[in-house]
Amino acid sequence: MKRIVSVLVCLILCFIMMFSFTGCSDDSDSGTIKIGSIHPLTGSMAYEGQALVNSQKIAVDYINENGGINGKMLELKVVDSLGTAGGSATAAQKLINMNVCALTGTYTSGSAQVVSRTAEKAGIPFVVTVAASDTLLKNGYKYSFRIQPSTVTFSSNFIEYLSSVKTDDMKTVAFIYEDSNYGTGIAEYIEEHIDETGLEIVGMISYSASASTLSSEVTKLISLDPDIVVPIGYYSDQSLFAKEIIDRKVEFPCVIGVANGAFSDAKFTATYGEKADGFFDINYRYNPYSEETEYLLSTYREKYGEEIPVCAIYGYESIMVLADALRRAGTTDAEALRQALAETEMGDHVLPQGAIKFDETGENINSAGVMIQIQNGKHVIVYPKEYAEGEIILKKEAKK
Amino acid sequence: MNAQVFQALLDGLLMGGVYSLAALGLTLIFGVMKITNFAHGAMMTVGMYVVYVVSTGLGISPYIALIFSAITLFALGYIIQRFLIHRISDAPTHNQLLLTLGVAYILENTLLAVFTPNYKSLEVENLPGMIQIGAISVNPAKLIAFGVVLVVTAAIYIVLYRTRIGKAIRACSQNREGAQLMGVVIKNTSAIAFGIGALCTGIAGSLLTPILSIYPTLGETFQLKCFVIAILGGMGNLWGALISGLIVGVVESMTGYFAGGSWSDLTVYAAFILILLAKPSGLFGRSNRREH
Repeated sequence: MKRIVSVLVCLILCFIMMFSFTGCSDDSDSGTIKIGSIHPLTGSMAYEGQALVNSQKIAVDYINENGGINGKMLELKVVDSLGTAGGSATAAQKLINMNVCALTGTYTSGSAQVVSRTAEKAGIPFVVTVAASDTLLKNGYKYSFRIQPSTVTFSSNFIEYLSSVKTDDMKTVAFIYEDSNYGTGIAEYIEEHIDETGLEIVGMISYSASASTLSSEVTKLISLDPDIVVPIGYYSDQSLFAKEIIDRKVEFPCVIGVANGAFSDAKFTATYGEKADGFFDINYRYNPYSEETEYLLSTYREKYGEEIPVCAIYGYESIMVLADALRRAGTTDAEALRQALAETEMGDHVLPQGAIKFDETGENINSAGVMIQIQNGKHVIVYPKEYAEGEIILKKEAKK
Repeated sequence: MNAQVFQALLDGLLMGGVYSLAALGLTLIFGVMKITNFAHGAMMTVGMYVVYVVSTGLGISPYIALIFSAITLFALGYIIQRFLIHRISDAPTHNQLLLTLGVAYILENTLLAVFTPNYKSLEVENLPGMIQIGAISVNPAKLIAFGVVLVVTAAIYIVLYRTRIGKAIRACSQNREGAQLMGVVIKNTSAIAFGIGALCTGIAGSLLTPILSIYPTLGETFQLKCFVIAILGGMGNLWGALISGLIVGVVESMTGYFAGGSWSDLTVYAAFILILLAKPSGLFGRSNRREH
């Protein structure tokens, strides 16, 4: 009896495998152009991962509704990266086996690094949706491209944009940053270039992103009494920081986040509203004056019932850039597509920057962040001028 | 003392109180079952979500919703012990330990599936952001938390030292076989002890909900912290856990003030190792010789 059962189980398993394989082979015959998407769809980053995929789908639908690429339809193949480097490597391999013409992803720098290597080995193009690490494109790979500003871009944007807020009375600056690669990287870059701003650093306060309270760090910050405070970190720790200074009614003349995970987030303004007025952040954002932005925002709202999380604009843009390259290449051949991507010069897009154009490392040379300020509980772009939606409002005069 | 140092000290004490309560639950469970509850952090997160759901759903203050959270967690702890851990109580300790780890993953992933990994935060109406006393500002949410911790601890003390079931729990924790011989029903007593332990961590979580942004894996941070506090206080020693919790809170906060938060984990664990080297059974632990 036991034997019969085990034979039956084996047979059933065989059937399941057969059917699952036929499922794959069906795809390769269809006349679509397949693009792979590797994002975290489970785990702690699933929300952002899903948002990126959602906006990629909007781009794919848009292209298909307008005749596809040279008559062929686009198809997005999505595989969960699990938010880990290992999961991303498996996902990349899986997608390559499905014959995708390019990979996109991955939201975290660790995962992006792995996919970048896998893509290079397989010789197919990889377009980074979101991953800010400065070292990502420093491996001399030829198949990786990034549209998003890196941490270095944000840091140098800070140095450059600071002049628009800084008055002559502001002399000191203090940093409060999370102590992983991300926070430390930005803080140290700015520290190195601080001479260009004429400010004096009075404090570098680092903390662990998993901290359950930042009370004593804020107490320390108050005792340092800087004119400018620069907070850098992820959502939960930076909202702890913000809550602490809002609740204590501490008014620093100027609080400017750099790639701050909380300040630019829609949840942050939804939670704190006007209490968060005055905070600045230098971060990625859409260009409010592009018609395409209007389309993306309203479609996302309609389809998914909420405002698009800012990071997701890069999901949309990654597909647009790939579509543009596919059109010019006229083929899905990897080398031709890589060449076309390298020659990209795309003026129409949703980003607050000039044409999208890649240098030889694959970095978008015109990439830039913008400076937003929270005004009346809403995010308002205040700098650079050509994308500004409002004027800078300084809350409190600096001490003389 | 400089006002800012005093401020950091006070913040540390208040936060330490909440750590104490969570660790009290862990040490209570260890005392009776002789196993470390690896689901402690996850249970704390469950407590947070109960408060979040009840408070936003019924539109009541989180401090009333806390009662729901306490009841739910007590039931959860009771069920886990009675129907899971008790069934394998003859198995080697490490298997029971792994079972609690399994429970932790199940709780955490259920929360992920139901609530998504999105951050949630709770604003308490009619609660001022800060109370200003001279140069010192006190977060009322932390102050209330500390008050509740005192009340709950006192209540647990009364249960343990003034009631029959408390006596049974203490008897089990001193000598399991002996208690059984005296007619204590281990199955029930353990389940109630586990329930009380879970209730402690649930209340601690509930008290943190108005202070933190919550997400399903938040408990992991507290799991290790509770573990350290419980060991520092001498596993199974209730007063030890309370005092160690305050110590860890203050060390964390003072390090945060003087050196930055990056150093606080390092300082806490360095102090932990040094104390264990000097007193292997924890600050307030009974020495091994007397136990055997």
